[in-house]
Amino acid sequence: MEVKRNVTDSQVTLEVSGEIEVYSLPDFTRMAESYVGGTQDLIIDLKDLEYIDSSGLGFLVTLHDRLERNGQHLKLVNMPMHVARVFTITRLDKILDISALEPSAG
Amino acid sequence: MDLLKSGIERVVLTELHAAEDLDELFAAAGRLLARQFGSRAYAIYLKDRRGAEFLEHASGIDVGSIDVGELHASELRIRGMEFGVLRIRLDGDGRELLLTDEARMALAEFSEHLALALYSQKLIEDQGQTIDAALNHVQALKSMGELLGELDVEMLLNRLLKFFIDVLGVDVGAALLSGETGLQTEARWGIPSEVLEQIRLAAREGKLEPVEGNLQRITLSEVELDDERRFTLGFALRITFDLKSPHGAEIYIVSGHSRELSPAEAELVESCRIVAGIALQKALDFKESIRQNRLNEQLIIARDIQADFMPDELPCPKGLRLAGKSLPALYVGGDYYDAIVQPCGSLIAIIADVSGKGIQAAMRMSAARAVFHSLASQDLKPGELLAGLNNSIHDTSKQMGHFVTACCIGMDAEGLEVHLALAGHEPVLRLGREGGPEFLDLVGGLPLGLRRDQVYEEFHVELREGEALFMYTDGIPDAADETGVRYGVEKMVENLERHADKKDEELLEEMFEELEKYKGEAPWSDDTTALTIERRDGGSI
Repeated sequence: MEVKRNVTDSQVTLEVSGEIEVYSLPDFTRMAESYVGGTQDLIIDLKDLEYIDSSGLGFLVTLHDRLERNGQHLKLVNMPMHVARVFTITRLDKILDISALEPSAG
Repeated sequence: MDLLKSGIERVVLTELHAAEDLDELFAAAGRLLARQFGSRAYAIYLKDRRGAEFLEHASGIDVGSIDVGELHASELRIRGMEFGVLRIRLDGDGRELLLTDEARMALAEFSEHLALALYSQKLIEDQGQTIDAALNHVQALKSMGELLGELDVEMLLNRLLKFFIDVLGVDVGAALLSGETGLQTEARWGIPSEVLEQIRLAAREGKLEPVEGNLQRITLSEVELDDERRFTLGFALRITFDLKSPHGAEIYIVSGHSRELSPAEAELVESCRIVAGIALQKALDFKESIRQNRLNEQLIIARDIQADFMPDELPCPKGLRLAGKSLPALYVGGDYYDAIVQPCGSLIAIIADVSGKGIQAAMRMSAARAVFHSLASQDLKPGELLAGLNNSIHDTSKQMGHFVTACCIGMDAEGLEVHLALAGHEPVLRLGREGGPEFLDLVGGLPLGLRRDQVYEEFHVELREGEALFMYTDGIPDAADETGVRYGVEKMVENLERHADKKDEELLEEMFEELEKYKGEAPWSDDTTALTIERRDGGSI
């Protein structure tokens, strides 16, 4: 799993590629949690995400709750279809702010 | 063979005393071996790494000849210096020379002694040490070598400390071993802990002078304690050891009298230090392997307990046939299925998937199982049961982010109605209809444990005779092959279609076998579970 970071005054974007699963999760949580308690919103770009397991899902919910408590917002963007499926089944699309990956033109 | 061993030892040491060079040593060793094995001819030679012979002695055998059996070949190495490969050939005069285990051991010891002899010869030739000094050096190395057999870490640390104190002829010292959680083991010999603390502090502050390799002198001449006692440090040496992370070890050797460390002594301590490091690492590795074995034993016990949690036989009332199968990804896992007949006579079944894997998931699973049984015994229907389970898991989960997906199915006492509720779980399939396996289009609620006071809608499901419900956890579609490609839902459905004639345990065996074939040598990526409920006769809708 690799994470690319892009920081502005108002938001932090983390581009995740590969898999978020129990073994790669600690690195990801460390990075994401470092922004909790700050002033920026957190955007997680999932267009290159191949797979996420239940530990990863659980962490996203925790992250969402902790950010919200501090007045920050979590947004999951560019979610590919094969990943969107798991958010739909688990109904986490009702809790989290998710936007799908737009099909590329042409 | 004791005679042989001590004989060789005497020869080696005696010959070293008298020998002017190694040729004489080899000659004596060759004669001794030939005598012991009843051989007329012998050859002993050392080849260096390039294969060039640089030291040889033979009698009656042409070293280059190939028609005599090679008795023994070993590499001679000491303290990182490679002396080369030692070969010994004995001519049995047509008779086969028997190499027993004892003989092998004796020859191995001889090689070791020879390596030490070569080393001491080097000390004499290169460093101008006297024969006595060289012999002492070699004896010390041999004693250190014996410590390689000590596998108790604490005992070894004590013995190493005593060894270095004796070798240097000092008064006091301390040995410290640290690990992941800091200082692990401490051995002190005649040194108050307050004095040691001050010496260690001085070392940390860099009051050190390099001596050789990992030996440093501590440039502190006096230690003053709180009660105004003073200790003179005439000589304080720190020896550090090469160990694999996270371990580290150091030995402090202290004398009240001022003294210098001669080059010969420094050489000796450094040689012994290397062997001591090997001995310590061996003991630490041994301790770790014991710990691992104990851990594995615990995991096996945990696995057996969890296997007990899974129902041996599922109840099959009112013309229903239930079958389930579960495989943890690791020793133990977070998947679970169960079915019980409630006091009111209804059947209630559940398949659940705790987030995560391994021990943590398994422990949460066992807690959830207990609550399921408790709620089921209160005659709760699937939706109510999931709501109760949700609050229980939510309230008892101190750490955030853990949840349980579940599918709960209820069948009334008359066997007429099938009801189902979902909590973030994979959709349910109905098998046995003309169009093949079909996903039931039902809306579920959030996974259990995330948000309190959830409502889980119950759905009536039509299940006719010969039809079955197939429930699974995401371990099936998430199973990955050796290249990391996941099995997927489509393949699972295709497989169900292919085996439409099979039912219950047979069908589950088929599904799991297909998954095994698919994943090949790759490990199970997640806990994998499936549950089927088939209507065998009458009472439909």
